[in-house]
Amino acid sequence: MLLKATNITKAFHGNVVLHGVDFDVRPGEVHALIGENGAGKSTLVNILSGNLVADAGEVSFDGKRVAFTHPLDAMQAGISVVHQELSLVPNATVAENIYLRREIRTASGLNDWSAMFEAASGIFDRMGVDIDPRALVGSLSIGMQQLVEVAKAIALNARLIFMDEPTSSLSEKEIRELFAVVRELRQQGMGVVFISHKLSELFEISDRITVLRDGRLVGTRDISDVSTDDVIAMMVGRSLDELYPVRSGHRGERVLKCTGLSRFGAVRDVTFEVHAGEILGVAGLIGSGRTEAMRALVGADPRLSGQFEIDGRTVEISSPADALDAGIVYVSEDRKQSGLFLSFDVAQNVSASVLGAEATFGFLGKKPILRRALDFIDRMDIRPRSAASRAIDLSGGNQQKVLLSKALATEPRVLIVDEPTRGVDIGAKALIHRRLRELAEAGIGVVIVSSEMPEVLGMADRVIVFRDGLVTANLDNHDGSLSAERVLKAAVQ
Amino acid sequence: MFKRPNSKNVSVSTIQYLGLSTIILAILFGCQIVFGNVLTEANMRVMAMNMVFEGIMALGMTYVIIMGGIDLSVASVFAFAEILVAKLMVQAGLPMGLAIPVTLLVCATIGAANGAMVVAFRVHPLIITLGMLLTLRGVNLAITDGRSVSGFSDSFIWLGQGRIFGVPFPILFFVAAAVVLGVLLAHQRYFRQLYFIGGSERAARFSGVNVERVKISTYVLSSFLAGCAGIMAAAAFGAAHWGHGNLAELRAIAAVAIGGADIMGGSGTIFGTVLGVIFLAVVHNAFVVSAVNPFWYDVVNGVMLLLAVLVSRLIAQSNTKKLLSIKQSKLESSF
Repeated sequence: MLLKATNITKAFHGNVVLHGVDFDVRPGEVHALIGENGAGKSTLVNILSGNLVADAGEVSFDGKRVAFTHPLDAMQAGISVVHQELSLVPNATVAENIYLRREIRTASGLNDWSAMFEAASGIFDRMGVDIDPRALVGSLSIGMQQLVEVAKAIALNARLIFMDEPTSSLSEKEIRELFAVVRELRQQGMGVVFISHKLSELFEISDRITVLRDGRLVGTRDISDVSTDDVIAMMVGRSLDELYPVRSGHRGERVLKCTGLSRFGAVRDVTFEVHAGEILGVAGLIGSGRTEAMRALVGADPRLSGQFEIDGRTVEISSPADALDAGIVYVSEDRKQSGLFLSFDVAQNVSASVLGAEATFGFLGKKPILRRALDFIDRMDIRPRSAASRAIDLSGGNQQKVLLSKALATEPRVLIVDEPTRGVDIGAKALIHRRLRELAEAGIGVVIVSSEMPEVLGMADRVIVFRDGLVTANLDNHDGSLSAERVLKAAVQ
Repeated sequence: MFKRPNSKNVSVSTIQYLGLSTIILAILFGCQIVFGNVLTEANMRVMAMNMVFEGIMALGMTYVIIMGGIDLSVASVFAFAEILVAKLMVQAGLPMGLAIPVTLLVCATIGAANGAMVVAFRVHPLIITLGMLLTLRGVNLAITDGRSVSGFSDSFIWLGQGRIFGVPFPILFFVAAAVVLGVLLAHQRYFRQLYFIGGSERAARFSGVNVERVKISTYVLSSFLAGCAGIMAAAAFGAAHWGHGNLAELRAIAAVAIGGADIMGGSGTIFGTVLGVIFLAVVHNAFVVSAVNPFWYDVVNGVMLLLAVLVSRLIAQSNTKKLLSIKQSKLESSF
């Protein structure tokens, strides 16, 4: 066994994200690691590569017990990670990026470029690729940059390489090239752990597959023993353990119609409708284009095309301010960066999008702002019940309530909420779900973008699923009978 | 198979350097043809001496900016070095051979303080070095009561006005420093790390770069060079004055930016900075010989700086576009 990890456990702030997971890699094997968002894949990789320290559990590499506390420890031992976001410097040559901190030098102490170029060429030969070590990294395609990262790992004498979603920004041809390299490395006895959401790729390249779900190991199987349906069944199987508000089943007039929404390099030709009385769920894995589509809809990011109708009237949207005027409000998934004004108090946050609504000759009175804040503190049960507490001092759940209040203060026709309950406690979660359902009942078009399958299935009356920038399914769920398998299939296949 | 990048591809920086060199030569010869007396030994010397101290500071600034930092304090370190070396010699009676090393040591210490504060407080270096700029300028003013200090020995004066083969000593210093620092930046592993820190501090740290040490030593170098410039300037002007070098920090930054370095860090070369310095000198000289209202001088420099920034933004934008277009072609092929 090249790597053997047993009983790995990790918690963040009391929230357990890995429950005693076992994982092993044999020399000369490609091992796929798969699971839904939040299943614990990244945490496991971070622990095995020295980026995080496990709370409990044992790791042995090459038969020896290891305890990495820094990525450099893992690198020195022979474990490297090729991250999704590359860590190369575009203005330096390929060879220099590979040999950073381990430069080959001449007698005078200056870098011996020709020796480094030659050594890098040797590594590329071993990988079976043709990349010029003299080229600037910035002049290479993403696919080639990824191979430079792999070369960097090989130069470090890595015997185990983790690849985190390596194919997500590669063209079909580049994926073939990468797979050829991976097979070559396997041939030479290296271990490769391949993390990807694309089942077809995993079945093509890997020897074994490990599925994680909710921080637990579901199982490790030989790839020849399982089908894609088996793997999907292993990935879901999460019970709807929370109670969601009851649907009325009433479907009213169309509130929002979005036609042909495209964004360069992110989403293509997205069309959907939202009706009064129903909640539209937007599912898809992270990076599938769902958030990108919503941001382009409200004009937060540029788009190539897209027509929008509200209550049957065409509206022009080129900025979030236009969207607000048209009655569409988007609540960002990133509440700390693009949602709240953290150092402001609750009252200022709640009124941030409607400043000036009650101004007399442009002067803002304190009273209406305070009145609105108290009204929302009541409606959303924001604690502490004080309009003067600063947003930064509130818990995640209460911050989210303030953020929703800020959106609702604009009295929107359409409310788009991205990850409405991320990092929110159970109580606040239930309240937010109740309020969202009430808004839908009151005739507002509600769109919920969520990574949490139970939330999508429990809340939405209809679900659209994104994969690779396209809507791959539009599924009915008015009676709550939609299965997680169908959604996940559309998201990964 | 992956194709090697087309060897006929000319890198962007080459285009920038060629463009800048062309503009410089065009201004020089243009002025020579129209006004005359530009390409004379005397005028060249004046032109070079006008910009040489900012040029020396720009060399250190190049290192700092490549690393993703900035050093506004160089101008007041420059004046401080003038005043300190003058006071040590004229008022304390120290010999030149002692006063100069002491001054340089103090300047290096100021740089170490800059670097240590940037590392320790995790505040943007703009703020830290602005604080140092203002503090030190106040010190300069207070210890001189706003008056200049003079009365140097001839051997000290030589450091500012002496010539070897007709070339003033500060110019030779600038050339030598540019060559040494240029070679180190291009070929020496310690200084190559600057590019990696400026490119991605996090990635550099994970690759084992001692980011703190490199940062502090780079600010030391920047202050040290400003100190060298200050000492030579005192000798060249024959007096030390707190107002010398006012706004020199902005000219040094402008030279680095015009030379093609990304102000966000990660790119730039000493060669580019030297071209930037020469450009500023030549434009300044064009105003002198043409007798156009010299108030327009800063307008030209400002526009040139904005142009340089525009070019580097366009490059960055085309890079993002290249990245996205792969995904876009995938999207288009999926129908």
